[in-house]
Amino acid sequence: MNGCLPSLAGIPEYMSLIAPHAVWWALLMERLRQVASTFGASHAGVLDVEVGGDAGVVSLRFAIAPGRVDDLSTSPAGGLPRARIRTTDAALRALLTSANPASLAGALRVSGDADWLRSLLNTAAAPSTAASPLNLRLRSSR
Amino acid sequence: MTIQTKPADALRPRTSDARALVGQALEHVTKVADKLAVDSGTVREQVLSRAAADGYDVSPEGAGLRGPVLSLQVALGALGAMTGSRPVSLQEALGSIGERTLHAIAADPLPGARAHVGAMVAEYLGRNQDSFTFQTQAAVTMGEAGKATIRLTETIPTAGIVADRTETVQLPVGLSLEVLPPSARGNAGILHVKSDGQRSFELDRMLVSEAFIRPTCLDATRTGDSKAYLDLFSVHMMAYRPNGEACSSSTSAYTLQGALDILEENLL
Repeated sequence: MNGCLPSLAGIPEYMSLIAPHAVWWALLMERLRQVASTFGASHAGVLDVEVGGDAGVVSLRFAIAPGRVDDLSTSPAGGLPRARIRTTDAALRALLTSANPASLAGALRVSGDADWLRSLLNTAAAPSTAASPLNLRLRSSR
Repeated sequence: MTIQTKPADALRPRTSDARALVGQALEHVTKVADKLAVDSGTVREQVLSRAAADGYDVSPEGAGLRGPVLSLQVALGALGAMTGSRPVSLQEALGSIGERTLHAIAADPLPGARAHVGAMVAEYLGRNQDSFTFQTQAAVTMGEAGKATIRLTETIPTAGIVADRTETVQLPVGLSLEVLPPSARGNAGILHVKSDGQRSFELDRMLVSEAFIRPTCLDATRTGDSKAYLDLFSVHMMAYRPNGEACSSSTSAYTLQGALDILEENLL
């Protein structure tokens, strides 16, 4: 996250009370929704995330289905997970703020189908394609 | 409870002061919460109220701000606070979150099937029920030179087979393995290690439902204590005299082979 260094003015101090996992999750969910149209049947599955922090452990969960992503963090739906992440708020803070993303390896421990999760994240990491009329037509014809 | 805030000018520090300021703010609010003996949930509620007063969308309908779900708007504000004085644009944040997460993941070094079963158990206990039946079935094939190949199938009745793995172990000299019917303890007392008839040893899977409903065990699991986590799926070992009287306490190990090694070192 490169950028300029303006002041903190305008950022309420209570923002520091927002846990890193909440920020990471909100951004990841939004990004996955952006690319959800590329997900097919082979991408389907449920990811469970367990985040340890000062306030205890928080459970997060999303489900991928063809063309969609559902945040199931507040619902028991979705069935058994295809993969599971264990991490901490401290690790997620580093993930969000590190100037060197390559140094983050191991911050999220994955069990289960790690290759599936990597495929999802590779899709999320790919540059967004401009929504040209041709792109839209190609997308709709899949 | 009132959360004190600093005047706007105080929120305009030099870059080097930015992180310290955020830390001070958090410390301040924590002290207030401690002083008033309110829990963190109450503090959160106050934060939400303040965020709403500042124009952020904190309604449950608008992506919500309950539990882990934040509106993007609030997430970006918090991210700006975390990164010191750098504001983060939506495009910037979304553009890098996938790559950053991809860099951060690493496959758990635990054997996949075992770790995955752990995920399933946590899933069931965390979301669906307090405990559940977790069945283990075993098949043993004795090989040459004391080698035994063991296939373990883990089943949660409501979910079907959740793990199926095969391990080859080296047995202590003079021992062989056989599969036992489920034990009187209700557990799947699955593997019986026979000696010369004077003593016998039973390698037993821990009763997962029992283990998990013990608060300390559950807590250890959920705080990511890898040892406790693994223990739940280790081999539990019991030793008995021929008359059935237990002559040794149990122990556990991370792998079948580890349990056999302990048996050889401590019990034989």
